[in-house]
Amino acid sequence: MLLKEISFLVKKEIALEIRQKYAFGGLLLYVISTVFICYLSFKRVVDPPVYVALFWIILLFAAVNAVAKSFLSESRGLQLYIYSLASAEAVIVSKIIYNLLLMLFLSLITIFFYTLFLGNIIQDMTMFILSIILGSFGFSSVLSMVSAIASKANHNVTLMAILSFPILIPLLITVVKFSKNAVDGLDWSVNYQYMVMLIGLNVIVIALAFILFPYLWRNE
Amino acid sequence: MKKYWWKIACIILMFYTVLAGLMIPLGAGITSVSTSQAKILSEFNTTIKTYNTHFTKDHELPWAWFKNDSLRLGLRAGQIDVIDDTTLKLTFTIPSIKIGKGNCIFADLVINSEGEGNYMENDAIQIFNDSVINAVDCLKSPFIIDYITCFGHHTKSADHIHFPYRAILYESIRNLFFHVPMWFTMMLIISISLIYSIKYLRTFNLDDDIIAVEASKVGIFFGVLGLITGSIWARFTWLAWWPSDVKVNGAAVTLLIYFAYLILRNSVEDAQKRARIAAVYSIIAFTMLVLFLIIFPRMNDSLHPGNGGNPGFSKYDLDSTMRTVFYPAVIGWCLLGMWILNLRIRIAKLLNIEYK
Repeated sequence: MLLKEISFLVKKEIALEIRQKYAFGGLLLYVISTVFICYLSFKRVVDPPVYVALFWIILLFAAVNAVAKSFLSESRGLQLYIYSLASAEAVIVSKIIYNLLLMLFLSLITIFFYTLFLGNIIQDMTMFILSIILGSFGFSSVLSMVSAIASKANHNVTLMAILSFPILIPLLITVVKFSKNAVDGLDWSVNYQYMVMLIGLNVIVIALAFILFPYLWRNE
Repeated sequence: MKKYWWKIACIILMFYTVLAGLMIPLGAGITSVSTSQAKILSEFNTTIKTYNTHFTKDHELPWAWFKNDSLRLGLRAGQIDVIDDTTLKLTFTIPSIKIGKGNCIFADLVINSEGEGNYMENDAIQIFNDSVINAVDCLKSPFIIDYITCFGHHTKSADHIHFPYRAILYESIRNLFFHVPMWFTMMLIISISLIYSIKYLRTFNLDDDIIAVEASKVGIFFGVLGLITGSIWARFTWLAWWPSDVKVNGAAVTLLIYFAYLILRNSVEDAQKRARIAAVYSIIAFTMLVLFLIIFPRMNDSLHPGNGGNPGFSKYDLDSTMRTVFYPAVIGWCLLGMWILNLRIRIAKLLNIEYK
């Protein structure tokens, strides 16, 4: 039952996204123009820490913008309608899954343009992609939850940044270390601890979202 | 009166902490040794500076000797001249010690003065062998006494209570009674905030929300105090107001999260709705606090004792004198935190009635 609700809700999100192409197009333009500004100001980045930090900062702001609208853009009437149809758990899980897909798409496009403009110094691309996948997962789960909180607090977009940045720090620290190792081409065994930590963080955040979201969702 | 026993206990313990923590003197210690390189078969002069000693007022001369634990070697100073209360001039006649040619050994300098017990500087002196003679029986020399006898004659310990003298820490060791209990209090009070946030989500009683928010404010207050005292301590011991340390940065981010919690509260008008959203965020915030202050510092390199593979403070520096102040200090600070929280909750409830 829950799975069925989730799949319906994800399909609804994707259908909405396809219908309003301007939202996703706007995000793409945002990411590409940021990468291009970085290219114009840096030309080539050869220092691995700077390379990785810049990439994740671009992705962080893109993620906040992309995920913020997941709850913030919904009107009160639409939320009430969904509330009467689906369980709260299904809503948050479907949002996380949909945002994960969105983030994966966005980050793969970002990495394509990033390596194109700023040079490709990544020695282990598979590991880097894995770090992006785990990072996107974390971004989507944390930001979906915070977006839900911010949407309940008068749809305040500034609040979204204030609430989410400190919570994203543990995730960012770990994922930056992980992807820096990928850029340096270190052995996989070095990164198992980061993978375990990222998965652990994701599990914690999703568990919290699953338990706490129903309290946010009930009676507006 | 029975009702207020814990407040009385808090006042007594806080007075005890401040008085004992600031008044008990530091034990004697060696601050500097003028020359540290000695050659075997020669005379070695050194002037040492000490801390918290009173050589001119002592009735008997202090004892001074070098020791090396692995060679089980003790070497007594041939002549000791007292220059002033904190300065000694030591003269050693270094005998032939069994050191390989061109090598050196390190020895610790130990001093025993009246009323202060033994105090030492580790690896204070390097003894070189640049002579042709390679090995001579060291026990023949009149100044070499056996390692065990050296301590056997002079085990007189200090005759007054004192805090341990530790290099790098020095007088700042007293900060242990302030900085550490402040963080303990912060953890306790923030835990109360978490418990009442969960309780609110179960009962939807606004009184629980008041306790949760006041607890988080008091917790933030103690966290800021902990950061300030920690910053001063770090300036003294690690030479930076803001050292690049996982635990320090984690504490700062934790406080940011709790500030965000307060801002989130202020952005919602309706009391029930505000309480619900804030309770949810408070639970997330506490999870982050556990990550930042407990898990992360243990996984990464940290300057803090007990983190990142460092030995805990208790291992070397927390002697019985420190413990007699530290444990009451922890209880006293926690009670003080509870008291402040109690007052704040009462004020908040009164204001709430006024609004109604």
